[in-house]
Amino acid sequence: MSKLNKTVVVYTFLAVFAVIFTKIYGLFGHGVTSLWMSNMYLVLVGGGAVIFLTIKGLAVDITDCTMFRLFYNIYNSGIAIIVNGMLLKGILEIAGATSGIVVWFLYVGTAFIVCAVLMLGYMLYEKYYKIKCISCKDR
Amino acid sequence: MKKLCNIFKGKYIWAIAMAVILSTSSAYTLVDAFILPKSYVVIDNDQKNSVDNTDPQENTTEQQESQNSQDSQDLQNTQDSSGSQDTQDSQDSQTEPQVTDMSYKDNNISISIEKVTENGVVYYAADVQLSDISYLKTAFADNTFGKNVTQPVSEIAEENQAIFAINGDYYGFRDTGLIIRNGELYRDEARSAPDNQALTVNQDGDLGTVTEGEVSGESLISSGIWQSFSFGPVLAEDGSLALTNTKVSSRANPRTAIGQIDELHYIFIVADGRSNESNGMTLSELAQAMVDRGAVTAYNLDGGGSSAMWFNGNIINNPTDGRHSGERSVSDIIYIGN
Repeated sequence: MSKLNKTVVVYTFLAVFAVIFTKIYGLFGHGVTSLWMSNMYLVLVGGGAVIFLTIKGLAVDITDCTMFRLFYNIYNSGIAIIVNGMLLKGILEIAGATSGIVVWFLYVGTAFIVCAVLMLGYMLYEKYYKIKCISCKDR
Repeated sequence: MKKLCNIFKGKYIWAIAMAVILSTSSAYTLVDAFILPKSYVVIDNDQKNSVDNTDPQENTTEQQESQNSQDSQDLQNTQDSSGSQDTQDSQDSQTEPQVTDMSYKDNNISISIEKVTENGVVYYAADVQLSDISYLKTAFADNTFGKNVTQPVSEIAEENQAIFAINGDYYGFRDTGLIIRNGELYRDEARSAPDNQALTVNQDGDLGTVTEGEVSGESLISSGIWQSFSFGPVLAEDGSLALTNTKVSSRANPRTAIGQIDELHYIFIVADGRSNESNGMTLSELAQAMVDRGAVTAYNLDGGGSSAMWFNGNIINNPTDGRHSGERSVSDIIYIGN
């Protein structure tokens, strides 16, 4: 299975898991629900779609860049941190509690995504200008 | 850069590292939110506040709170001197209280509790008439304003020599909400809509509601607000149903609510739920029960496993969170006492 197909499978599995988890958790919520928890799957679907379409839609292949692995890890981690933050926010909301820490998951997750986007830009810059790049294996 | 890339080149190293970091930080977040107790203000026996925290940011807030407390102390003294004169007069002529399993009566306090069973719901309605607002009191668990500082309702009630008590708003489960107790401002962080209506009790004993954030806690204290509770929603206003949008579950659950019928005349309702004996009340049913009993203003307090009514040394309802029977430890109570 190619890396791209594996990404699609993993994101789809996690999105389905998020929906099932939300439904089961809701059974114990005594009627209280949380939009943060209910919408976790949207971030997974969106996050998976964005990385799939970006890599698939690019005119150049960036998967051979050494930096690609780091970019890929940082992007996935960003999505994971945001979804984790939404899950915690949902748990706290359903319990009727609040915490000032949870918002940091969203900030850090967003920072990871921004970082990944900058790395993507750098890889594209290297590819398009065919410079002796430090991030590609075969140059 | 290449070195950095290579560090995480090993299969699963990044994933394992992230999993460990995320699990640890999530566990800490949940423990901090639900378990770790933090004391912000300790109230000593003389009702004076002392700062008990080393966090500079919190100290700043507490210094402001202390200042507010200082300001409100004047109000408290004013009220105490006027209120205590009446109280003293009535205590002088105090006769032996008449106490039964479901009622209490002395010169200043009259409590009558009714157990109602209807439509699969068991609830307790306490009709309370006071001669002075000083008999309607509040208390924090361990005499401490803080987060996750909790005690069962019965323990707080006994420590404060209460005659009657119900659970409060469980303010310590949240970082937000307007909290004024006994004329002192403890927290002035507005909650977000739609659940941002707080209940206020002024020095005359009248219940009212305010939207948190629209009026500052200090100005409320200046205008004579003596207590505030931050939960909701508002159940009744001007004698009519006043339920609005809320994130609080509207399904049948154990409930606690406070209402005012007339001058110094209150109604407290605690409904059992999540058990074979009682399904619990929906918010609409609770609001209707309040209005039916003549409440002009009524407000929903913390419910679920927290719902408890204590009278004359015993918990009289059947508190349960649906899994375990028995009292849940809470942050605060509302009580009637001499």
